[in-house]
Amino acid sequence: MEAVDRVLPEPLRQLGPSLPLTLFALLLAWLFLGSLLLRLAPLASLSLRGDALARLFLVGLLSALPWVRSLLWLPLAWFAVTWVGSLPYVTGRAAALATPPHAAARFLRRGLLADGLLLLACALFFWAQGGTWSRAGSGYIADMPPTTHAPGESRAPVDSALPVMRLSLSADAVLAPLERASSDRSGDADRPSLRTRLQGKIFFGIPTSAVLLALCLSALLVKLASAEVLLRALHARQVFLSPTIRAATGPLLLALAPLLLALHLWLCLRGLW
Amino acid sequence: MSQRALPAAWPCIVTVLAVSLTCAATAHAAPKLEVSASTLRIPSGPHFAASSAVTLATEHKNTHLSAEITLFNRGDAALALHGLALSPDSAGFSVAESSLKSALAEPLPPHAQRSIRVQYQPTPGRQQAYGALLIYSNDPRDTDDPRTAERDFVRSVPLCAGESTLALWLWLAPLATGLLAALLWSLRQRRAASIRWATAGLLLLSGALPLFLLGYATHAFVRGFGVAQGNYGYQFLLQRVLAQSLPLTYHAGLDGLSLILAWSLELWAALRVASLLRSLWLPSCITQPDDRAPTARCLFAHTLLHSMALALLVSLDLVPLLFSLLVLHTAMGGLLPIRPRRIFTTVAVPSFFVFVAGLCFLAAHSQPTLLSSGGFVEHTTDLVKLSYQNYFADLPLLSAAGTGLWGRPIAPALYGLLALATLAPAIGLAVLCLRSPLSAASAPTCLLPVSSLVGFYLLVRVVAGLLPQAHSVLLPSLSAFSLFACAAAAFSSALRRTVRLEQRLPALPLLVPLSGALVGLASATATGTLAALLLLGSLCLSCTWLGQRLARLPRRTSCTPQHGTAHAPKNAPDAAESPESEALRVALLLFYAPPGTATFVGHALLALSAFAALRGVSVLYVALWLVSQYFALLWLRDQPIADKPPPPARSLHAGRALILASAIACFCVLPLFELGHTWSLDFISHTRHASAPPGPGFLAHRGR
Repeated sequence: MEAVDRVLPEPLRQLGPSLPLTLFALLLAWLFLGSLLLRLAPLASLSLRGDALARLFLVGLLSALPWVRSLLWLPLAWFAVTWVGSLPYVTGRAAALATPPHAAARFLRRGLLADGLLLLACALFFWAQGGTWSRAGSGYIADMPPTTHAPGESRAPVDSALPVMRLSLSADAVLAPLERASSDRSGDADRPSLRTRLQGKIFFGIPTSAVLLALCLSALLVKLASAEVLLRALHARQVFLSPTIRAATGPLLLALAPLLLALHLWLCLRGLW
Repeated sequence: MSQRALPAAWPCIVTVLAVSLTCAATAHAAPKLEVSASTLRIPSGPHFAASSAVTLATEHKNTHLSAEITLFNRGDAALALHGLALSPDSAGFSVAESSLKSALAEPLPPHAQRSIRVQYQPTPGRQQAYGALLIYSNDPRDTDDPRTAERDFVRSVPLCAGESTLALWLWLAPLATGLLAALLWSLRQRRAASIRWATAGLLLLSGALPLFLLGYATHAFVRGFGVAQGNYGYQFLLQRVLAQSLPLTYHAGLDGLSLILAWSLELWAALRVASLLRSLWLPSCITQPDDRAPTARCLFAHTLLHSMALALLVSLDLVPLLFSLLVLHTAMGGLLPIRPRRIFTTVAVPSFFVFVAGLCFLAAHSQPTLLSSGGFVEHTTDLVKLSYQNYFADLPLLSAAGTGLWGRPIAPALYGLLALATLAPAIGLAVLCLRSPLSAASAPTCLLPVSSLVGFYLLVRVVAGLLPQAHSVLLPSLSAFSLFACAAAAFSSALRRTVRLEQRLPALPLLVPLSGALVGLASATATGTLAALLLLGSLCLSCTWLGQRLARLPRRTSCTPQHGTAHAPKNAPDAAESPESEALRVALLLFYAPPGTATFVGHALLALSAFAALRGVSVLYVALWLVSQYFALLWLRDQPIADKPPPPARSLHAGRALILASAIACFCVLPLFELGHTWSLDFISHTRHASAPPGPGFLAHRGR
């Protein structure tokens, strides 16, 4: 048995981070799903409401953002923030807090568009490191020829290039101990930086870096625009002027979350351009 | 006169009889080879018992397992042994050199015997081996070897090491227990508590036994065991020739694909069995006949569906596979109401016959091969041999000498037909789900996961296995076509005004995972292929749970002539007002797949993995998924807020638990992926022909 056949490819390996990270991510997922569940079917025996869980989720996610560099989990976090962002439109028990439907639809559209753009950017980020798209029409060509297969058979070219699944642009980036442990485990501590890997790569005849810049900037700007919609709608309802801090914290967090996500993406990518 | 003539004829009669008897005696003077065992079985484990037919011995020093077989000459003439050989697929077996020399040294005199020692050396990870010992002799009763020009007589003895019956029991156990449960439930004394308990116990067994066997199989499954390691990557193999003359064989085994899909199927079965068990204790079930209570026919159909789906997943021979498929479709029809059943039958029956015809055509053009019994067969139905030892890509429609259109290779057309035939029942059920109001969509929604799973399996195992070149070229187009069909179905569903949007299942969350599975397969990456399996597994959870919650909605009385679905009477309660509405909303949330659930992660993995090979298709897939998420968010926004929550039902708690368990599944899915990873690499190697482009390029830039 070839040992390499037992090692899962990089995108799948992201599903099994270290135990502390897994537990933390599971806690966040439960908080998020719990907020949706309590929104749909509140528990009579529990005084906890969906808003409170959503707030806890946002605090946990935003505090963990500096360490989120995975190309799989980053889009997932963006999607989750869009879903949670829809809560102020629906959880307003007081009619004054509910925002108009057209604003809600606009926020959701922009939020999801940004999430989709980021997801495609992540896919391009991932594959562009390990190969390029041939202009002669041969599709994706991996940089390294496959070496771990039986004679006469070719392994999938796309999985053999082993690109990195993290947004670590330079070797001296500030990494958290948890992430360092994760990268050591995957054995890619000595890999070249993402910028080096993307040098000279072409996508549709355009340098891949430029395509990535366009995609990420679009995602970032659209996310900011979605936050702006939310801020405007909540400001118009004077939500931020609520007499109690508790009433204002939730909407404020929801409005700030897309801004912080956009900022985090920009900080992640600052070394690339 | 005759009385006088008879004594005179006596000497002639005696002479003729004597001559004929002498001739007959001369004709029978021939060697007659007999073998002490019809099959030489060598258990590969450390503990095995010697059978009466075969003498077994273990040489622990060399880790060789050996068995002796005795040859008898029951004839009147000497038996000349011309040679001993092993069939080509007898890797691991060998004939001991001493036996070989002594056996061929001199002829075997009449009524003598000679022993031959066959050795088996297990290789790491390979737990089973099958082959045949070929004995060439001058016994005229033996068959002639068709692979050689000269006339030689060969007797074959099947060799088998480490045979496992797990694949057989995997479907036989739920079949037996489920049928017993249905039989008990059909008794008239249904109200008796003992009958109910016995039925429930048997039903529970029918769900638990395959889970237990699958757990054992997962534990004993050798990770990293692929085609290169032997047995074409299959484990827990069982090969039996049921009828040599037909020839009818049973060949079963498990690999990463069938193991993961079997787990998904058991997820579906567990939910169904739990629902059936609950229904057995419905008050209406005990006191009066009610269509909500499970009938014996319902139990019977469920048992057949469950066990035949498992049988299909483990079957590696076309005849049992097609038989399982036929029974499975019949059982599905039995679980559907009358009108949807007619629609389903209209789709499933022609697709089945197209599938059978296509496979018969391919099997008829297969190469002669050896059966597991050692006998020769002109055309095989063995799925593995058809996949790996035949090349159907250049098969012309009429003949090799044909010209023009008819002489062209028909692999692409055949692939398209077979792929459509495999997916047609799932498509039919999806259409039924979308065209029915919520209260009537329960049965097709519950059956859709099984149908999709079976369709996907047949596409991968049979269609792509037999026609790998066509698969590599055509599947990207097929996946793109399915995405366009999704978009069209969602658009037409939104335009339909006969049934309100709130009273119908949303189209995109139902169809996008099914198309996504095809996209993942077309991506030709291990990640995409495994993510497709994850999507199918999570569909088994969400779709089945939703279907069961829909079954609890208030009943409708009359049927519409147009769609065969139900109209509500004017005073009937709306779905949103029923006591089960909260549980239904939670089931719909699971169905919509918010971030954090296994379905969502499957979608994200697919979008990431498909981008390299299928840029345009990947973008289209992401766009459809985003639209699906958009409508899910709008649905979430529109849900009313209950100020005073009603007392929660048990199903509501179960729905909440399933959603939270789906989040756990995201982090615990890696061991499942490890089971299928080697299979996915082998599948990609098999379907990627040297002449094919490195990446499928539909909608991607592909110039000449």
